[in-house]
Amino acid sequence: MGGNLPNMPTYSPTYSSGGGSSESLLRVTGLCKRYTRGSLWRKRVAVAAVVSADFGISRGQTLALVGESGSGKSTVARCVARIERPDAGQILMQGADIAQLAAAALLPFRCRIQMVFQDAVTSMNPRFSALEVIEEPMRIRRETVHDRRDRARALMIEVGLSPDWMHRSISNFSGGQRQRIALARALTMRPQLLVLDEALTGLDVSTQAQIANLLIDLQAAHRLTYLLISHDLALVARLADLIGVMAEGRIVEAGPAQQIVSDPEHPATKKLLASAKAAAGKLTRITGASL
Amino acid sequence: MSYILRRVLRAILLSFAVSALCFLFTEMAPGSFFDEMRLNPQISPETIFALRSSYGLDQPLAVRYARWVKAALHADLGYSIAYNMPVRPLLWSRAKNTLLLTVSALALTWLISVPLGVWAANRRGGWVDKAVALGSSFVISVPELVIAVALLALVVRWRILPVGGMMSADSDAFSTLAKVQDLARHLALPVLILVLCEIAIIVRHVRASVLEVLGATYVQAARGLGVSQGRLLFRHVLPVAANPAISLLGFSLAGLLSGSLIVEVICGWPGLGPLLLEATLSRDLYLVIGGIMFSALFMIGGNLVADIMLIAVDPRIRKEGADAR
Repeated sequence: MGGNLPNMPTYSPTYSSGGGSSESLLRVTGLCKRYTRGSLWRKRVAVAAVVSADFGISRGQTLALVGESGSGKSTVARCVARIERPDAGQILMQGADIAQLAAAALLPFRCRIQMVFQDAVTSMNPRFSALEVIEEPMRIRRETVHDRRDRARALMIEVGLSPDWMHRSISNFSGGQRQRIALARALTMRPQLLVLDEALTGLDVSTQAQIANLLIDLQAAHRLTYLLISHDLALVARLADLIGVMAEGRIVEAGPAQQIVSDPEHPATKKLLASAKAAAGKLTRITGASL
Repeated sequence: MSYILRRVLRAILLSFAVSALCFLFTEMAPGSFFDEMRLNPQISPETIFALRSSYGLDQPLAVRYARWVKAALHADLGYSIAYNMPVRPLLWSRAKNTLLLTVSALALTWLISVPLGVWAANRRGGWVDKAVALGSSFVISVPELVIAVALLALVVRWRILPVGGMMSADSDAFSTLAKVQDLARHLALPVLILVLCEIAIIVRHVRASVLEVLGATYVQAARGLGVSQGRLLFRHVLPVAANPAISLLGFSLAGLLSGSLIVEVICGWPGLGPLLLEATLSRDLYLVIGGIMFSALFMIGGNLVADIMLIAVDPRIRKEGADAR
């Protein structure tokens, strides 16, 4: 778990809750990512999405990165899932730095880290059936048709979908069902870390609650670790053990979820909490808790 | 299947609409083939009237159109006044040359454009991408006519390729292989001009569609799963990016066909272009209509093929077609 990190308040390296252990799974230090804007005719300008991010997660825990749009939280998620290569910093997965690994060397780590995107509709190939979506990671690893089919069937049941629907085109599934398929796909390779990038955003309140419950069940069943990206503090309060608040590409405040929710220090955190309280009715429906 | 049937029906209706407009516009155009005859004092007005009558030109437009449609349905496109022979064999003898030119240019354009567009998109910002952007911008901004004349001048000056006609004058003595080579050498310049002009547009469209799909979340998700670059491109990106490119196929066919008519005149290729130009200048009514109808049918057929190809590569279109009913 994270130690005394330079840009965030200290929280106990052995902090755990909800049955988590202190076994460090992921540690990110000095993560920096810039994007270049411009074109052939325009001057190229570097825009820093993440200036410096430091955090750690223990096995079985959920760390939520919260912040306003453009704060850099999704970029952190994409770097951790190595969809993006960071410009600087370390991403230590069980001690191995994956930040700058090339595609081939990264492949074994892809099994351990999987990502679920916000928009399940656009995160799947529109030409694929549910089965094709779920078995794609297994195809890459050349598993047999029989094994792929069996695992897809089991995973569909586990995420609450009928395996009879496996040959349906993904366009025939609702938003919530597609997010379940996305979870099944992510679980295919038995990952240790799931990066959930706004995975519950855009769903209706009832579906959000169902997916949130599913995430809790899956975490317990597979001892999963979650890096949860959200702008919804109310939702995060229910799911996360730890919260890191991001603003302008930095983690400006971090600590145990209850501490952040009950005693915010940074103005960015207070602003997010104020927004969450404004949507108190929704909060009660989703979490059953109050801030 | 009903989707294809509806497309075929639409193509047939479109063909009738084009033929009707053809008749209307040629009627509206000033002058006729017999105007020059009227200036000749040796030809009496009665003779001209008899000639007009024999070609059926004294009949009202609707009657002439109905007769033409009835004959055209039996593959009779009328009679050329200038050449004094049926339009169909006259047209076909030239149309097959135009088809050879257009189909060769079409195949070459797409064989180059698709890999180049995919490469440029996949290596966005790289030197290939920059070269494609610059080159295509330049070619698009220069009129086709200027490109054709410039290339023709270069070819003539450097004596790289033969210019004019389809075969060399002494080609009868050639072996079959030598004849094919001779034809290819004569074909090279007009094809090069057409390909150069068309490729600039197609490559940009292919690049744009591939870039759009490459930026899609599901492609990023596939990357996150560890999908190899090859599988990503061929399994995830190209099947989806193919849709707009296939739609473009019909338009590119139209572009190449209209371009070929000009290029044929410039390069002296014995296709429909020079024939249509002569027919238009001499007001050879049925030859003009026949030529336009041939081009229109070729374009409509090309678009129909593109529609059918779209259904073949994307079953969702079939579904949408069924839902729309």
